[in-house]
Amino acid sequence: VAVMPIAIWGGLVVIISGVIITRLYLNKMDSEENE
Amino acid sequence: MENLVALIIVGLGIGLSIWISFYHRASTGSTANFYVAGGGLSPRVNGLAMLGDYASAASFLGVAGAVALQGVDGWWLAIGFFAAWVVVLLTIASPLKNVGKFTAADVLNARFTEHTKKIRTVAMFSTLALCVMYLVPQIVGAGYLFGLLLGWDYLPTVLVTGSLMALFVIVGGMKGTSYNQAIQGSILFGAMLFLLIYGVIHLFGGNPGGVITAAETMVPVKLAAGNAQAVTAAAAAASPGAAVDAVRAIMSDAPSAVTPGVGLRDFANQSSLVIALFLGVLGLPHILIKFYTVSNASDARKSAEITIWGLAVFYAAIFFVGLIAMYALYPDLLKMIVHGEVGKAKNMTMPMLGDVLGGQVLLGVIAAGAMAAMLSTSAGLLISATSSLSHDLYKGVINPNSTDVQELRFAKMGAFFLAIIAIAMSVWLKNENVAMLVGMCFGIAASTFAPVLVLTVWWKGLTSQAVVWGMASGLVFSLLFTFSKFFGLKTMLGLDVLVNPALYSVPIAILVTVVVSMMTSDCGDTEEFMAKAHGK
Repeated sequence: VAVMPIAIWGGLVVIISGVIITRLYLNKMDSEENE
Repeated sequence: MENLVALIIVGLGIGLSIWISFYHRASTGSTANFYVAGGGLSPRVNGLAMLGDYASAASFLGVAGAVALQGVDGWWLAIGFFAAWVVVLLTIASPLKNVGKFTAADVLNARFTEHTKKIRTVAMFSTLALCVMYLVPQIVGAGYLFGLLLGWDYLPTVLVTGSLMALFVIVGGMKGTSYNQAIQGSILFGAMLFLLIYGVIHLFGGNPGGVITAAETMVPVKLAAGNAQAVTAAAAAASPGAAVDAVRAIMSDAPSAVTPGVGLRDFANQSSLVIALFLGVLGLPHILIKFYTVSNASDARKSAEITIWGLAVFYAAIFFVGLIAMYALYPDLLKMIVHGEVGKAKNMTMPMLGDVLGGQVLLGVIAAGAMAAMLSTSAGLLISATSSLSHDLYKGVINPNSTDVQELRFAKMGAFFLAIIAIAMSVWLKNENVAMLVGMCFGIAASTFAPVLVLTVWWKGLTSQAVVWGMASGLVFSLLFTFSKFFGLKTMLGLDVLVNPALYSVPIAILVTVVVSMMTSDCGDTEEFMAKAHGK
């Protein structure tokens, strides 16, 4: 996995970042609603 | 018959979809049930339905085909689709759900109480233009698919597909369509993962690293097709692997399938495509309406979470499946491009890979998945278009005192007529590239709904007059440049005609919206609307 070309890593980083950002956003919305 | 087994599987898939639509026919008794399933879908069903809706023919067929032909650059289309979904979620999904309206025009009218008829009318024309334009690539893709399976002519194929999608919507409404989309989303997802795992086992002895090694060896098909010596060597090779090695031996300095830049266009065309992809989903009504089909904002977020995980795995897997397809079909894809069958090479990679890996059965499953993607996306689009037609035009402008039954009858008639228009355009545009057509729809959406929806929920200075003029100018200029492209014009208004209208029409729409806002004063019920939209 570590030797994957940079172009593949770039795409995967965008996808993983998208999931993390979405998770953080949804958690924030949930906590705001519960307050 | 040549592909009988595959055809039976596709037929069973379509039969299941029709049965689901009939099963849920009782749920179309009211407009709320017809448009948004009464807001009563579970988050899981809605999440899977959004996945099925989003992962349309462009993703399932187009992106895999683009990767198979030009390598990693084709994947950036998928990354664009994925990133755009995150932008939708972060910017407008929750505010729109909080406002709780059916169509984009309803959202705008929830804030603005003046010029409501003008806003509804412009929004309706934008929705209709978008939905019909988006239906065309789905039908064209289905045309190629049936052609591959049956050897049918294009015209009967298009008539069958168009009729089926209208039937889904007229009979099943949003509930039937959503359950179909949930099942079809699952089929697509399963087919994608199966192709990935089975392809790695069958072609690379179960070693995933073998796919990367092969990708670093392969000269992208698009480049190799320009070298006559390479084409001859690939045709003479005994196996796809041997063809890959033979082409690499001849084109030793050529980029590989993981070298960025092979499929990029010039700066203006590339910028236009990026703007369209990034902003387009913000304005696509068939995606936005999905946030209304659950009962509350919390369930909308649960749906969104299921969808984001599904999309992440789907768009990561699609790249590796595209590389596997390039390897497995290398000589075949080269031959198709040399013989001018570029459309087939771009759009039929997935079913052809299914045929190579698993014969008739896998071809049938992939074709059923692809057909499902096209039908579910088409049905979702048609629901949005008919919602807008009956709700914004009939109820909002023509007959404000209409009953639910009258509105529903108008919606179902609308689905029928829109399907006819889409079929006619599919016949006219049958030689256009599917991915390019979808990109154009994104460009129109980015020029119409995207700027005004974002500004409506985030900018207190926006005025009702600016909404009308902003959307209208975006619609006119995006359609002007889109149809200039269809008619083969090189320039329009002294500007080069690009593959996508967004580079011109998006800045025009934003500029007009901001300037008119500064010149006029009706900002609507700003405080009340903002408080509701942001849950304050």
